[in-house]
Amino acid sequence: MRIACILLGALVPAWLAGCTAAPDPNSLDFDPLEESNRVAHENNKQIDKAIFQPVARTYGKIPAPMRKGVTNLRYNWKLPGQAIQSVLQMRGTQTAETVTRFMINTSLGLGGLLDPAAEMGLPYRETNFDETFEVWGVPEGGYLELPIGGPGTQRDWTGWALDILLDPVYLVAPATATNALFGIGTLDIVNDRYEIDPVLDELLYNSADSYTAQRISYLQNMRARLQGGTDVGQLEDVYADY
Amino acid sequence: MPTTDPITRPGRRALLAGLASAALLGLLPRPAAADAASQAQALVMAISADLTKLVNSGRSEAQLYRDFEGLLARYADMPAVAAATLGPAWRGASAGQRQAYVAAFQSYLARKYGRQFGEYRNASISVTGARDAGKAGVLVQTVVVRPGQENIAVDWQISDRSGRARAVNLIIEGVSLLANERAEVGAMLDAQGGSVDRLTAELRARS
Repeated sequence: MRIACILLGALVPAWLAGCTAAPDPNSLDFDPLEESNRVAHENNKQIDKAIFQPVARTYGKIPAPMRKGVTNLRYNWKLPGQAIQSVLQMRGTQTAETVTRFMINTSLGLGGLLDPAAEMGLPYRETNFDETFEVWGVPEGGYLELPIGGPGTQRDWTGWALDILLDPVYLVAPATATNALFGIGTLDIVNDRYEIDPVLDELLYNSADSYTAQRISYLQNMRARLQGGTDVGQLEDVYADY
Repeated sequence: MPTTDPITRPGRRALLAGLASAALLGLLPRPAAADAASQAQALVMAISADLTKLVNSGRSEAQLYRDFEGLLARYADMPAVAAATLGPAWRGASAGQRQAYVAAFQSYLARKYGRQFGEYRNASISVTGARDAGKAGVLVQTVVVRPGQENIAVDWQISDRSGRARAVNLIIEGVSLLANERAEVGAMLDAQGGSVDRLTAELRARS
């Protein structure tokens, strides 16, 4: 919690400063924090190689259904916060679906270990402050690679801190439950690293410029995720100069 | 619902009338655009079928890369893609340099993406839609379903500007292959002091 507070305090002014620069929203060239990002990137690669990658590969040896159970639990207890985000995004149907999903999986799904809601046509769909900011028209700010945290933008990291600070489950549930959820969350982050291992491995360790490769992959993926798919208007005319 | 239902009749008539006026107003896709979209979809289905077969063929790595390179050459406009990734340096290159660069880029791409094939065994690809992108071509949307893993959204940019419908870009979960390879090739070109010949040698070394 305290780390998040410090981070938020450090980020907000920078993020507001980022707003004044008003970059082309679809540009991949805007990179005001490149210098410090590159330092963090080199350190992150070393930490990944020494710790995260080997830990993730070990964790990947656990049978998939067990890892899936951990993922299900983490996703389920993120839903109360996500229902609030859906309200902030003024999406009524999505709010109702999130609440219904939470009730089904918490009861029939044994506290969220199983995911019967998905089979009933209510699959998990992540939404956080990053999407709410997008809906509200808050600019991305600059790309920001944090030490240990990895890729993000000033807007995304601000949203991430707010997601943690304002998570209703953490505000309401007893400490034993939130400690268990914290453990589950940590394991599932390790699983996320395992799931993207082949792609991340290629990106970080086989690229001519791994910082740029990761930065532009992250930005494009984040934009498509928050805007609901590839923007046809952004496709380039390959034959323009050919 | 029975066709004699009094409610559906006016509804259907209204729908037909609406369609007719939409056509008059030019709101419906023109036949040419519709043709391009269906051609693009057919092409993506053909590519998907060949890719699925190749990924599950159980061939050795070397054969896999070679066959994949064959698919790239057949279905994608590799000279156009290679030129787009090289950018301004393409205009300054001689015909011989361009030819060598295109060949090296194609092998490099086949190897780089072929390395990921292990992840796609038993995966199925289905076309979910197509959108007209004007001069940029047609965007065919597909979803790759892998048992026990998350689905992947893959969009194919198809253009017939070369005379026939061919793939010119692949967008995986929003990430454009063209944008990423332009950055990669740009970084390699810088590292080689801006020499297209040395860049070509570097790409060969990586494939």
